[in-house]
Parts: sequence; structure tokens; C-alpha cells
Amino acid sequence: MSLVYATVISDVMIEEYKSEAARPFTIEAGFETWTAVQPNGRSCNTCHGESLRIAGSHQKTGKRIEAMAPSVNPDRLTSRKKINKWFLRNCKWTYGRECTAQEKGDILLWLSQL
Amino acid sequence: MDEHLNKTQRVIGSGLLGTVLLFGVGGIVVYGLEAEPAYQPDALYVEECGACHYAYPPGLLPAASWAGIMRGLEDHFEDNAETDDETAAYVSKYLAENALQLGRPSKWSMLLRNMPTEPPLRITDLPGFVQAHESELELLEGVDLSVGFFSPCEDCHRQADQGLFDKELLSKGYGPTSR
Amino acid sequence: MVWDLFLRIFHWSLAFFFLLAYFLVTDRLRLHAHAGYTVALLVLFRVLWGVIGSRQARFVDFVVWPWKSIRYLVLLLRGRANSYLGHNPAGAAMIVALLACVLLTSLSGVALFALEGSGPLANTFVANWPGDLLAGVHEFSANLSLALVVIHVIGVVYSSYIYQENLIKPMITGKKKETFDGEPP
Repeated sequence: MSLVYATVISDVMIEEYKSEAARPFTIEAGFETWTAVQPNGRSCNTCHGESLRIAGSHQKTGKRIEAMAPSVNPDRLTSRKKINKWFLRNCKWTYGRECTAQEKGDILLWLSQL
Repeated sequence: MDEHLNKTQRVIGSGLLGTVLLFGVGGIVVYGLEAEPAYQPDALYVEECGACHYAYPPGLLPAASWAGIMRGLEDHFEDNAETDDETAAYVSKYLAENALQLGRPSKWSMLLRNMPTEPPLRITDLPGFVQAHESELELLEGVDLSVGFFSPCEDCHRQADQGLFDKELLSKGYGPTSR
Repeated sequence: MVWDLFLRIFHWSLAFFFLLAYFLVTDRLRLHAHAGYTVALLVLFRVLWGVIGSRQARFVDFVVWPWKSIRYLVLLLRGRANSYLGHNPAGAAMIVALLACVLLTSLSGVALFALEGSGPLANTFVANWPGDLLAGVHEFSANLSLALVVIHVIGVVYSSYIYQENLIKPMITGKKKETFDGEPP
């Protein structure tokens, strides 16, 4: 399933995650995963902001984080290396563990139409 | 009135003064009069380590401190800054090669002063840093200097991205006003 | 001849290397330090030369107690001072002050550099001296030295006017006018 702002990379990665995922990916699940506040009080919105169409700021340093939505920021979802890196760092910070293939696929799908 | 110098005076005079001048001029020849080249941060370093905060020039911390930071990327001052092995190795090498070092003068070598045997992980914990910001710290006596107050160098040092921290280059009415 | 060759060369060399060190600091630390060492060595030479050099170079010829310098200055301002062949009492005071001040600047600089692991005193007894104090002394004495240089230049120009004689030229050629009426201390 390819969505409006999907990129070649995001499509490929979603395909790759399919094999390890329990259920089909849905946009709603992606939204849930992204916005759910964890027991430690953190969610992806903590730094990326409530709206992904505008820039957010790092919760500690205040550094500007460019908009996450590909509709606004064409750089997003164009580098596998970057996607992997930020999944690694930010899932661990937010969830205390790496994200599962299910979670990653859901998120990428959701982002692909944002 | 006509004071001629005797032979001994001339020998000693030319010998000693000559040596000193040779030394002095020699230094000018060896070191040259031009300024050292401007700071150019590594692009990958800036991307990897400058995404969430100002990319601190490697010359601001000794190699041991950088090594400590690279070892603890999973808990990088309460954040996660992990990266793949290849990138980590590259960044570690870059940091080690350009770190603050005793005996290597640089525009930041004043940060070496009174360095403890076990260097701190934070630039703001360096005695040299504290000395350089003595008056600011004095002004802020009693204010809650939560960790991170001095961390964004670029808030006051407007040419921090070029590694320049001269007093003359501070923002007017300096303080954490840019946020 | 009043100022012997070595004295003259010393004088201009000191001026050159001090100003070099004063104005070239940022991004030129090695050169700056080297110029500073040269200043110290020049001062040491001058001290030695003040003992074994030509007559007017020797400290015994011109160094006087400070109150004599002040008295001379007062007379000079009234246009009633004697003229001296060698250094007059005010010049004498300036020499002592300048030599001491640039030497202090240089030595505090060497110590400071040592704190950063560089220079001849690195890894020696200086290692734990307080950096902020040394830095303060270094900066202060450097600026004081420069202030003294400015006063020195003003003094030379003013005296030239009072004595109707270009007093800069003798520090290049070594020769002054024949007549003088000042007494050696």
C-alpha cells in the first residue's frame, strides 16, 4: 500500500518489515504508537511537537527539529540510514527498547500520508 | 664623551644579543606571522552530534572525556545518542585526533588550565571553563543553574559555529535569549 | 657617542618583540609565546649589559631613587630641568618600570603556558598554580606595559620639545648634542 507522501525508501522498508510483523500495518496503529505517552512521561511528540507539520524542539536543548511530515519536509523518509538511526535512538529513549518491526512499519505507513 | 666599547664588551654583547635575536627571528620564521587556519568541523560529526545540540568543537574536551562520552552513548546525559559501529568509530577517531591536548596550543587551550587527572565529561565542568566564566557565574549566584544552562554556547557566543569564543564576539546583552 | 650599538639594538628589538607579542595572540599562540620568551631574554641581556656595558648603559650611571625622578619631572614641566647626557631621572624610572613590567608579563605568560602543557616550564613545579590568577596577572601587566610605552613615547616627544633636540634620533645613531649640564647622581 503506497501513500501520497511515501518515498521509495519508505516503501522498501515497509515491505521488509512485513515479514517480521504480526499484523498488517495500519495508519491508525502508527498514530497510536507515535502519540502514546509512556510511563516515563515521554512520547514522540515530546520533541517532534503536537503537529508534525511544523518544527519541533528538543525537550532538553531546545534545538529546532525540522518538521517530520514529508508533505512539508521533502527530506523526510529519504535515507534508510537516517531512519534506522533515529528509530534506534528515539525508540530507546521513549520506550526504553528498540521498536519492533510491527511498530516501525505502522509508523512509516502513518508518516507516508502525513 | 666618546665611549668606545672594549673588545670584551663587544664579544659578549654581540654573542649574547646576537643569540637572543637569532632566537627571536627564528621563531618568526618557523611559526610565520599568519593566523592558524579557521576551524572547520567535520561534516559527519556535525550531522551525528549536532542534531540535538550545538556540535561542540572537539578541541573543547580532552580525548579521555570524548572517549567517555562515546562509551556512554546509550545514556548520553539522559538521552540516547547511539549510532552504528562504523559511524561511531569514525566520530571517535575524529574526536581523539582533534581533542584538547596538553602541549598543543590552540584557540581553546586555555581550557587546559588546572585540568584534573580525571577529566570531566562536561565542558562546563572544566576548571578552565569555570575560570573563563567566573564573572558570569558570579552574576548568576543564587540562580538555579540547572544542568544545561551553559550548554548552548551559541546562545551567547554568536560565532560558536566557527569555534570562536572571543569576548569581543559575544552577543549584545548576552544571555539565553535566543530561545 | 651616548648609546652604544648593543643598547640601541636592544631597545628597538624589545619594542618590536613586545608589540609583536601584544598584538598577535589569537590563533597565533606559538608565535606569541616565542615573542614573549624573546622579550624575557632581551630583558636579561639588558640587565647584564647594565652591569658590564658602556657608561651610559650601566645602571649605576642613571638609576636613582624615585623621589628624584619626581623632582626632575616637576622641574621639567616648569621648563627648568637640567639636561643629561645619559638617561635623565625620569627616563631612568621608566626604564626600571618597563623592564620590570615586561619581565613580569613574560614570566606570567611562561607560567600560564606551562599550565596548558606548553613551553619550558611545562610539567614542572608550576603545574598546579591557579590559572585564573596567572591569567589576570599576565593580562594586567601586559596592558600596564603598553601604557608605560605610551607614556614613554609621550615623554620622549615632550622632552625633545623642551630640550629643543630630537631625542629619538640618538637611539638610532647613538649620538647626542655636545652640551649638557646635568650631573650624574
